[in-house]
Amino acid sequence: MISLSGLNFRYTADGPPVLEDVRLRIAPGERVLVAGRNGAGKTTLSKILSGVIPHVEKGVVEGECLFRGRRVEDIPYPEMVKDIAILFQDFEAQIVSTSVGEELVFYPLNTGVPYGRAREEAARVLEEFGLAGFERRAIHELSGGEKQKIALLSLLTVAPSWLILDEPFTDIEPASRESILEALGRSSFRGGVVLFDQELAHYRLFDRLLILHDGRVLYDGDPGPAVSDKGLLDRAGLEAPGMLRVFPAGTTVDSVRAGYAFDEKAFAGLHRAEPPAERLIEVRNLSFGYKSSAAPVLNDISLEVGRGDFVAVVGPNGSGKTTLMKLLAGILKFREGDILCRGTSIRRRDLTGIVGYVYQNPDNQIFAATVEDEIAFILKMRKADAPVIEEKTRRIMDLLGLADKRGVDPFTLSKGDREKLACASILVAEPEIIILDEPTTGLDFPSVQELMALIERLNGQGRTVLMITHAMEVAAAYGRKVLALEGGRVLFFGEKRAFFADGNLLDRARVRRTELMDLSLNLNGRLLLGPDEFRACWTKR
Amino acid sequence: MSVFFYRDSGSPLHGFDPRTKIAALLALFAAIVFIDRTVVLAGLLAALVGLFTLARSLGSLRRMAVLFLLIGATTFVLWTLSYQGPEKVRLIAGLTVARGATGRAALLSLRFLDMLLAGLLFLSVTSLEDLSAGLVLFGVPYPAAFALSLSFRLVIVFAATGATIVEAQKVRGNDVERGSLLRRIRAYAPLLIPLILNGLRRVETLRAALESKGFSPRNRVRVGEKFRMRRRDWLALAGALAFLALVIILRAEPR
Repeated sequence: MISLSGLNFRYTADGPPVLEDVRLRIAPGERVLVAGRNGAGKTTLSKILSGVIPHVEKGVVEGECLFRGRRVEDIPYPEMVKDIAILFQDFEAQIVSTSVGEELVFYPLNTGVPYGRAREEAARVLEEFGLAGFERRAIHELSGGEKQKIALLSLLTVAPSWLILDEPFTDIEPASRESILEALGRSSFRGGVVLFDQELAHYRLFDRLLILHDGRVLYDGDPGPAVSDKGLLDRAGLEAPGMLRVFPAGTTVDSVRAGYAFDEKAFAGLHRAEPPAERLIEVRNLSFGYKSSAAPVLNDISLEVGRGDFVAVVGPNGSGKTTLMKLLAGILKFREGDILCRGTSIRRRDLTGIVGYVYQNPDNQIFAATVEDEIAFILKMRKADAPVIEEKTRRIMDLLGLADKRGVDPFTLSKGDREKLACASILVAEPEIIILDEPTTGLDFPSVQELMALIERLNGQGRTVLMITHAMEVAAAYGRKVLALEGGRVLFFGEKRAFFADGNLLDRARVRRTELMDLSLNLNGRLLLGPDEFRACWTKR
Repeated sequence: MSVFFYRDSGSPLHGFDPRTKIAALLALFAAIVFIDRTVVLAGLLAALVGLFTLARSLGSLRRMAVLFLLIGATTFVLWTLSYQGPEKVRLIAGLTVARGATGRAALLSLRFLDMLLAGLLFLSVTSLEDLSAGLVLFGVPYPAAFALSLSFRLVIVFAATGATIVEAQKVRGNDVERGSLLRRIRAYAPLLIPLILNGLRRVETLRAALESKGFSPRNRVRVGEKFRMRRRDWLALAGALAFLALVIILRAEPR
């Protein structure tokens, strides 16, 4: 049993409280989902539950934290880590080896397990999670999602009693998230799981839901009633899952069929073909491989992107999405095939100012002393006039809710705000082609909406947007097209409605329909992509 | 992209026990120091290239070829010019050097190249973890051996982060590869800040990351059963030591 009573926590004696009056008891084998928006206190709570605080990181702890009836501070940390395993939000920091096999044996070896048994445990875990044969893969050759999976699986090699997972699916493709949770249930792991997340998508797989808001427990109990309490979710800044996003609480499939009418005309309107756009980017027979790897990452890619297109780029981890986008942005150089921008090969064209690329990790972009300087940097590099710089910087800060942080050191911002800042510092220059690598990762629901509204507005002004995403709600709600990659080849490129209608394609791209899409098919077999389409097509009788 | 050379190609050289590889490398280094005949060093260079082929690691050699050739040429020139001798000879128009300077420079350059190639071959067939385990099996304390392999791993991480930061700045119009030297130096400033902060943050989280996985300087990690000295290891070791002994004997013989 893990038990917290009257727990208050702050990082420094004069700092703001991060957790206040947290009371909870987690029973062995229990599966708990802890949800909350950016800054709710999730990461801090995960560290307290796992003993990282107070054993490794310090702070001011008041109240009591007991593990198996003993005060956590009295238990030697090496003893605790045999029983409680934690996956950090920054999972890459936890990877200390150069190959998958070595990474998987590191934890057991350091908890006293002999090498032979550690190897057996590693092989068993890989087998149970469908990754047999990964042992010899080099860590630096893995995609972000593959690394996150390996970081998670490495925890299971010590068969802990508790698994504390802090946002463990940020980089993992959608289809794998649920299958990992399901595999956890089927595997030899019999311990409890406490999973911290910003969304409620997988609430059905948990026994209990705990909602955190501003460091306090807003709800603790059965997930069912909470996910249908719109008021509670709004207060916590969480997105309601599934049906509740479009119908009142208590609505069932039968009551929708009985109480709502389906507007066929409005549905037909959704299928209106877009006029073909002027060709902006043309990829011809592009193949690419990294020098350090024998296997090619991209194979014979050909596609055309029109001016003003908004393309969601999806596909399994390691399918070549980021590589393709970096090639389109001129960041990586290719040998085989060609990429044309406005009819000219990018081998002969400088794309600076034409393409804006937002990296997945905002910390690789940020460097300035203040938020305002960070955003203005790109405009200064282009020698824009001071009034223009000031006006554009101010406008984008207002749009993304960063205005009150203009003088703040960017590195003191929350992860969500740093993500928004990284986007703002590229989007402020209003590039003709905007490429975003998973821009919504780590953002809570309200922040996703703010950011996507801005991107949509820029797209409405004629900018072309290519966005890598694992968030199918985002891919479905924004943009018109989907580019799906599989094993370095184009699996699908076309209208997103056609993509989401084809179950076989979705399986191969390791993508799942959203709950709303499934609901729409369940209601009458007509595929609707998001809340707006539901509201347009299903009207109260 | 990897900045290191190890790739698990499963070659016979990869399969040796790390103790064999470490001991053979040390024996080879010692032998190279003792060899004082240019032709033998040249032969050893050719043999090392052959071993790269056997190790299926010619890619590592290709990556470093230009740098190694530059190093070889530079050391040759520097040794030629700095060699002191009583008698001077004209090398090319207007340039005189000591008699025997070019021969001596060739010997020293080859010695240096042999060492570089031997070191590169070792890194191409030995993973960081095996190097660390090999050191532990030789009696080096686990924390020290682990720190060595971790520092290499962190270099990989920092290099990859640095490359991403350069890319990110380039995309924003700050191209460090263009302009005057002063402009390039100024352009590097924005790159250093995220790199240093990334490094600091990583160091800050490193302790928590390691301890959360049970690492402690007091740990006695049991890697012994991962490796076993087989017949081929003993044979390779005997061969390396025999080669060293031969070189020392030949060097000691009066000429």
